[in-house]
Amino acid sequence: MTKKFATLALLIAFALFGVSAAFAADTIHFAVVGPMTGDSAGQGIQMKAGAQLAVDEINAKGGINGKKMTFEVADDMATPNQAVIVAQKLSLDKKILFVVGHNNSSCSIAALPMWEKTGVPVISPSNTNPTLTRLGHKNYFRVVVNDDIMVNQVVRLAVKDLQVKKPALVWENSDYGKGMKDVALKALPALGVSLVGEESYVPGVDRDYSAIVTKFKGLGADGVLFLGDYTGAALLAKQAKNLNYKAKIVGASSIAHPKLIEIGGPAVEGVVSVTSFDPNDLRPKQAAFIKKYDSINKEKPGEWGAHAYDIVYLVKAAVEAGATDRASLIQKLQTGKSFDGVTGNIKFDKYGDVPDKKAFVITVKNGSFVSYKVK
Amino acid sequence: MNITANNRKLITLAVILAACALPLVITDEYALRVLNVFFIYSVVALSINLIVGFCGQLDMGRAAFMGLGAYWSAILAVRLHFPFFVAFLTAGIFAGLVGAILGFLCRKSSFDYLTLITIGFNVVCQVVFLNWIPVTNGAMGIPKVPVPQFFGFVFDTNLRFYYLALGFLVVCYILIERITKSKLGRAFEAIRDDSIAASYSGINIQNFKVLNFAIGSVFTGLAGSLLVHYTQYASPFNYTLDESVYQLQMAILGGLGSLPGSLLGTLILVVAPEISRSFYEYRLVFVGFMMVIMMIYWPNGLLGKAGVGERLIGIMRFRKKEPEEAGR
Amino acid sequence: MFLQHLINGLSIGSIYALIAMGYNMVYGILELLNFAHGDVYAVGCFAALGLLTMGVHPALAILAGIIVGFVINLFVEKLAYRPVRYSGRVTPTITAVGIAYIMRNAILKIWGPETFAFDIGVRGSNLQFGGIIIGTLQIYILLIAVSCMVGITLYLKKTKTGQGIIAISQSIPTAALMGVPVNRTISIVYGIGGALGVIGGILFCIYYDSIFIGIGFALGTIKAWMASIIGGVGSLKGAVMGAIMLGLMESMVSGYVSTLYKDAIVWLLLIAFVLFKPQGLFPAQVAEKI
Repeated sequence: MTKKFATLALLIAFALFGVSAAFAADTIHFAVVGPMTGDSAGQGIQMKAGAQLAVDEINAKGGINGKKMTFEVADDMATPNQAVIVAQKLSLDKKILFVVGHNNSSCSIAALPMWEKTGVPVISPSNTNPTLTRLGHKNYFRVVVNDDIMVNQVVRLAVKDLQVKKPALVWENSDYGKGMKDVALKALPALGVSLVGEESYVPGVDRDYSAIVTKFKGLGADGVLFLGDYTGAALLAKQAKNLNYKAKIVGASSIAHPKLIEIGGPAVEGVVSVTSFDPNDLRPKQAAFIKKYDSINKEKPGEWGAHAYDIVYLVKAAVEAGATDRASLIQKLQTGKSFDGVTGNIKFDKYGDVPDKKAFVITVKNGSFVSYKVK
Repeated sequence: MNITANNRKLITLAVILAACALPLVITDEYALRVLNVFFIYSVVALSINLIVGFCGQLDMGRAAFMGLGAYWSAILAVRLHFPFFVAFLTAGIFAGLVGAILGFLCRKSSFDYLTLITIGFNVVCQVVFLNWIPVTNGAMGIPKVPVPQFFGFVFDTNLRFYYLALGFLVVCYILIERITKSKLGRAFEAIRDDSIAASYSGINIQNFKVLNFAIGSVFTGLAGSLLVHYTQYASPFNYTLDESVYQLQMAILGGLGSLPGSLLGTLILVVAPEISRSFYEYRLVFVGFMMVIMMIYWPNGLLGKAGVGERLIGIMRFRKKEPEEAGR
Repeated sequence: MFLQHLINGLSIGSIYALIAMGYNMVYGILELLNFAHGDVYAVGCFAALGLLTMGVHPALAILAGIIVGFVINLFVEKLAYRPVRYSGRVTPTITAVGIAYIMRNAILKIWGPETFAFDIGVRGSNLQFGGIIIGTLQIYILLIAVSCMVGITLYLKKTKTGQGIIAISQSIPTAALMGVPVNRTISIVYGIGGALGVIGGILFCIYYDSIFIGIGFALGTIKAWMASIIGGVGSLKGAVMGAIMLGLMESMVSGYVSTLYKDAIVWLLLIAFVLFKPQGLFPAQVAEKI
């Protein structure tokens, strides 16, 4: 009896919750989907903060064509199975016009078929796996340069600019890291250098890089390409310093986070990184955004916050250009002219990529990020 | 639960009929999806109950076997183009075989070592899923896993899948219940309660432990396979240690040793996070507290002996048999 | 390079040794996988972090952290473990899992999963011998680990409470009959275990200049288990030797095979240990179990 009652009660509560709301004609509503709990929560939370800032600014100026913007947040826990469930739930909600998300490539891959069923435009602020835009999903866009391009920039920076002759590679053991590693392995021979050492680490768990440092030191590597997260880069730099290993460290954009310096301290002086958003950008538009974001969130924005911010404004431009529903929004995004956001120029190619977006190079000097002049 | 056998059969039939009729009431796709996931995880919980609850082998790495079933099935269906039926059933057999091997390797291990080994096995499986790229495609996973189909009938909507998953649950439930009520089940329980005494009553403990592990793993593997044909994506990030513990809790909440309990526990842990966002955020703390509180006050779970279920029944004054010993 | 890998391995091994010692204190008595060991001492370490960021002097912060670890374990023992002490094996283990999750998620709620800098204002210097670098920090850690081990061994042999602990580890009813205050003694064991764990945890954080939630379960409890499997369950010497060997194993596998498969290889080695040498390398002599 108990089981039956409990089951029925829960299911009835369910049915009540499950009724979809009618499309509310006087707001423009979207969803931010990313990891809000778990190891990558910092990135998801930035996405939320960036979107919030944009929405607040837009609403303060009267909204889009008089309509206010609202959004909801969904947690995919950076877990593909969960991403699918979230996609199922939200894609049926007719109120949702578009999605800022997912953060992790594997989540996007898993959930896109579901989003596509109801034609929801999905715009990612951070997916970098190259295959994502070649899977044939017409509703998918991303405002970041994909790994192919970004890692090539990292490699070129190391070899041509920093004069690294015997590079070693450290990559994080995730879909992100592996994708980057594959690109790097192809790019190096093209520039005439060969790799002397290659190691990986488990992001979020591994702390000890002394074996890697010792190995690279023994192999005489004069530069380390770090394709992973900022925690790993900071710890590696620290342990390299302890073991007197004086190689140059060049990183992909994932290390360009203020926490690199917070954790790494003086050991990360001189670390160079490619980034799609410079948290110390001095140009007026960017500086204003950074200041505002920092004052609200007590932390400078990274790529995730900046991209989410841009995506909201990007959609605003598309709606003002005539998009009224999911399908027309997709169409406007595909054909729209280039949009100038805080992260640069956004114009999608036929796959949903932004191949022409410029990247920045920054380095750590005296305890903070500064622009790095590429020779 | 202490109700007469006839009442029990009637209730079971009523519940199954209600479940079959439910989609007439609940048509929301999202709700159906969650129910489908609930059905599949129920089978996982039942298999955990069989291994942990009925045989006392504390396995904390069940998710690995879900993964084994899932990947086997995905690879067969996507790469080798085997029909669903074949992929699905062989996935169960594969998981069962691995379970047998693992069980065999630790047949003499003490209680603690067994637990440690299952944890280690979970870790190793995850590493393999993540790194054996030629086979599992590593972190990118295996997308486009086909939906189940039998003889041309394609289960491509939530509604159709609902009946498939419900049928799956009913069949597995009946099978597992049969096992627990058979001589096999009694041997398992004997091993759980007092393995030394059991060995003196002529049971080869080691053989039965291995068998228990193998049988439980078959069900876990089947569930893993079905789930992956539903989400249509096999990913290594779904089979973590946290997942295993969460699944373990589904069996514990309802009561180790109580099969209806596994259903209730799974229902709560699958549905509640979807309903309540704050529950979702605190679900692991909830699980933690539940583990402690349950073990102190209701070690047999909500529906086990002396559990919440029984007390409610007592209040509602059903006919009861003599109360059995509530010890373990 | 071999020597450098060796030194790296010894350093991390000593830290594991402290954590394993704390773990073994409990296991030796009650033969329970103290699932919550890591997560409880992690609370102590984070408490120290909290105090450090508030500007408290590092020595005080660390001391406070150790006390927090000690006290929390006392409470946990009284509220969650004592009621189920005699309820078989599954129940107490699951209770411990529950406590672990509660502690872990409390930390996650307050601090989050990110890594934080753990700065105690002390920078170790480096000694160079040929191409090998030994940090003074590494030497201190080794010394602390050794002195803790000696200290605990003496405590067990020479003090009354210590002897009580050994008595309980052999037979609780007999010890009770001999007048050993069982409940209080067990509480103290848990407390010491927690304190040792915090010491190990904090040394870990100092060594890597960082702290994050993983120092509890992933890098603490699991390592303690691994050390026990290698070194022998239930013996203090076994825990320490096992931990050091584990550190060496990790260092060597990373250095000479591959960091990619480091975890998998170590686990497989452990499974081999369990199958072929389940007593470990330095098993407890029955008479001297702790």
